[in-house]
Amino acid sequence: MEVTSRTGTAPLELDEFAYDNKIVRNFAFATVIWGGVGMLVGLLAAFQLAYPDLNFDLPYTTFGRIRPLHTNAVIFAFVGNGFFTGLYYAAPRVLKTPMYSKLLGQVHFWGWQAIIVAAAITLPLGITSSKEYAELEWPIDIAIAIVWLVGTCNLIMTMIHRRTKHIYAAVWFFIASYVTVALLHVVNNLEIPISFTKSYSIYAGVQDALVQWWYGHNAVAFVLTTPYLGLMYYFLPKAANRPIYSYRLSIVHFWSLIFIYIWAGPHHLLYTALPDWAQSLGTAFSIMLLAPSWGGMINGLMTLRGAWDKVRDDVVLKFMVVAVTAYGMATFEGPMLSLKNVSAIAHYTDWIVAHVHVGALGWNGFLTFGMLYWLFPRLYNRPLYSPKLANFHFWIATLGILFYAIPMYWAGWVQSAMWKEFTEDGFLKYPNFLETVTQLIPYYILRGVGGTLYLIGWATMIYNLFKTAQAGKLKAEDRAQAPSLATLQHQEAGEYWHRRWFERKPVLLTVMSLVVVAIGGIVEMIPTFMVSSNIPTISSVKPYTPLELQGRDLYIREGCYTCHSQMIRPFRDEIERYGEYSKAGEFIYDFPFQWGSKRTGPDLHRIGGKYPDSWHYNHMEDPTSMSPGSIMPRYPWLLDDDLDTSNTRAKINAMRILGVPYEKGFENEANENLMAQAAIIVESLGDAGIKTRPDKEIVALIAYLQRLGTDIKAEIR
Amino acid sequence: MKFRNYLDTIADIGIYPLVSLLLFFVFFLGLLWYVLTMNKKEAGEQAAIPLDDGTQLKRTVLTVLFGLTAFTGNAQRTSGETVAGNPELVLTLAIVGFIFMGIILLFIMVQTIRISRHLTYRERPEKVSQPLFSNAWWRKFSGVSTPVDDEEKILIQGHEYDGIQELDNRMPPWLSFLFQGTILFAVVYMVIYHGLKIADLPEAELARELQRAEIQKAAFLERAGALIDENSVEVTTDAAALETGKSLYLANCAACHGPEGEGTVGPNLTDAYWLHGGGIQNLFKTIKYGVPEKGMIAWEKQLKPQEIQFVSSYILTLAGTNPANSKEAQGELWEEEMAAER
Repeated sequence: MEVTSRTGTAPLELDEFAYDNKIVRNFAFATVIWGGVGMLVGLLAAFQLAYPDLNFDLPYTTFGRIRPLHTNAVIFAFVGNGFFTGLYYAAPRVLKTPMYSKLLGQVHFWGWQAIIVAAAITLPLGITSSKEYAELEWPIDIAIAIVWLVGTCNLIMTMIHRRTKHIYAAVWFFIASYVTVALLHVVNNLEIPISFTKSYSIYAGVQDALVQWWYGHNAVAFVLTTPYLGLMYYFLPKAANRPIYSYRLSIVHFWSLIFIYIWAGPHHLLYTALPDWAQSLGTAFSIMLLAPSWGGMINGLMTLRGAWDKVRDDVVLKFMVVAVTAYGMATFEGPMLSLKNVSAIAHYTDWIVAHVHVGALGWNGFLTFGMLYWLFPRLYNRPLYSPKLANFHFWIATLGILFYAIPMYWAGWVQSAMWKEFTEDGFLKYPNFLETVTQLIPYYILRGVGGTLYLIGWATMIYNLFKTAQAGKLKAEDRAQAPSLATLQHQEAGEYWHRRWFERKPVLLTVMSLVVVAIGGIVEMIPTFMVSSNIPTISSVKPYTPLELQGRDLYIREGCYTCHSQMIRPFRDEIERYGEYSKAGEFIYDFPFQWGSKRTGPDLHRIGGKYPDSWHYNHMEDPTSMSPGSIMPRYPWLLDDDLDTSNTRAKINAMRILGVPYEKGFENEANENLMAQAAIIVESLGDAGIKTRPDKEIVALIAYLQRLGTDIKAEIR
Repeated sequence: MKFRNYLDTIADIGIYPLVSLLLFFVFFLGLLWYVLTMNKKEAGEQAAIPLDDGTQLKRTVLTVLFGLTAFTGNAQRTSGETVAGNPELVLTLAIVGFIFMGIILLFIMVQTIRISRHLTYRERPEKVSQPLFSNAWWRKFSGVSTPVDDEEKILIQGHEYDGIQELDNRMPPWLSFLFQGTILFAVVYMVIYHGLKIADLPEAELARELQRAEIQKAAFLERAGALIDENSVEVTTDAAALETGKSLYLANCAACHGPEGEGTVGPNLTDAYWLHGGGIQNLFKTIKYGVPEKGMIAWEKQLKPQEIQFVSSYILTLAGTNPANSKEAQGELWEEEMAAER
């Protein structure tokens, strides 16, 4: 084949090359398998809330450790691998060159799977940093950074070695996702290790919260959203065989989306102790995020213009249409939720759970399914084994989403309304928090049913894809040919600015993406760190004692933050229920912060001194003994296991490096101090007829719980 | 209904009627402008449409019906939530509901206009070009000004990636307006909260919420006081209540019964003899309804039930104080009471 260049008449030499399909197949398999694991674990977590016996009284299977496993598996193992599947298929084809390095691809694939396995082992073991979606400990964090950079380099080099003059929109989204996640991951996971399996975040309290939700929100943006927009820009027009609706729109929405998204993190912290100006910025930018987000939806849906008849018949397009629509719904709901008066109702409730699952099940799930059903016949050179079964998958999964989302929305509204209701003579209508929880159990069961339906759909997909693969044979590579870039690299007169500046210069595109996303974070973080008036100090707030510090680490290990917040918002019902609202200055020694994001159980910030030690002891042994009907898991091992005090010294030293004012030499007497405090608690337990030893884990946990929120009680008369 | 009470608890509730007034005003201005600028001849033609075409009529009716179902469905949801009993939630749902209804109404109107226009010009399609809500305008606004068949014209040359091409459509104007609108919102939001500081930040909001709760609680307790009557009334020994009772006594009763209850025009209230029965319940009844034939007026319109309770309780504390210039005993000895005293 010969083509002629635009300017000359001389025939061009064509390079011959081949796209590697094996790596795509590998990532696709990983997506399917890890997706199943992630959803199964999610299903377990869902039913644990309705049937607490499903916690099995084992540390490894309690909700507090299972929930992080679920979120990490779905975000990084399912969606992460889904992203790479699409990237390794689409990027080479739109850049007309194989991926730069097969070896880097192999390292990327196996490295990523090894990280997932490591996560699946360490999280149930309670090895966690407790920062949501960033729970993995520091050695794994480093591995993630390395593997991620390997993937990033592979893409940048592929862009440089491309055989197209310009870089297509899908790749803009890929590269922006890569560099932004790298930035987010590194900044949020800066921590001081004290052992191979334990570290402390270098940020405390309010600052840690700001950094964490800057990360957490943008993990949603740059792992769940922009990579999948990139996939949409490739697989949707391919499947529909239609041109992209608007090139200009893709430019506007790409840059505005990545610029604005990064600012929106503080909307997870409305009404908390975060400085007001940062909260307001979070709200303002979240509102501005609506149109850029919808730009993606519009470009997707309008691309189907003139192909809607195909949507009726083609299951791939059906999945994609619902995916894009779910994306549109979730990105409309997001800005609404970040309005303060809506957040006041929705935050800490199941409304948020419903919201994220519309995104995860609808947008990410359905786009992945659509992509896989499109991809497998092409990888295996065989039509899909059963379009009928795929159709069944589509309908049962849609039904699953409805069964999941509707009860969760309802549960959120019910619980929030119950929390806030007062009787006319000024008392809480439901003073017992548990009443507002047991109310929700039927909804939790329905939600589990929804999840089951979704999972059944996923199982049919595995079967369908397996049969397709079995009937065909893997096309290890697709051969292609194209003229080299050098022959195309000439200046065009009147070339559109965006094409001249960004679409021809991969490094500039990469760097600019990074610059654009860095701005929001810098503007929000630097003042919070530097300006002391943002976190007014409270003189009565003192560092934790060694025993309390150990207890706090147990609180982190058991994932208590997955169900309990430590942030009392300035609302009448919350100060009535929990006590004085939380102040920024109270958290200055909290490395990392434990504010939480969901109240399946009550807030614990002022739990200190509310109950006797013996109450906590009995409650941890069996929550229903103190709160009949409680859905909290039992923690019998805390009563039996000995507290590891060998690391007390290292912990005190690490805290001192972070700026906690322990006296010089305190690390040497830390364990004595610890035992002395433990002895007092053991004595008080003894008075209540409970015999235990001071070196048990439960004693440390009680010490921590009894300290919580008590420091400022002296201060507020 | 409860709903009204919930609305009362919302801060600055007064702003909402103003906003709706403004919305209506703008709406009517727009309508006026439309009417003034519209083609009079066309209006006449539209008015003269014979509604003989079954299919078109059906479409119109169906559109309206669809709108109405959505209406009621939404109204139900909005009122159903009040059971949950949360003012902010109710407000949010109500506002969303109203906006939704507004959009549906607008949709119905536009559809109606379009259909009627379509009817008018069915035979003469070349005339379908109108100043407002014309097809062309609508297509442009929603971003589909180029028909699918003419797409070739806006296919961008040289944009081809693995077979994917790109069209040169502009960003749909509605989306662009939405974007500009949200930017404006964000700026105004920051200015209101942090520039002009005219909206409450969380701490001030809490203070107001607590203040509101106090008022509400006081109002309730007052209403609860309203439930006291001569059968349920009990003596109160609360010092503050007795103090109130005393001042009420001095202001209203002392003229006739003497500042110390010694009796002047009216009878002595410090002895054990009562004309209309002693004890808190009889006292309450006498004060409330009065004994007009003997000069004691009915106080029920001037004193609240609780105030009557306070003043009666205060009077009972005067028993046996024997002030100077005591009037002679009148009526009958109140035995039970005296027995209880001893």
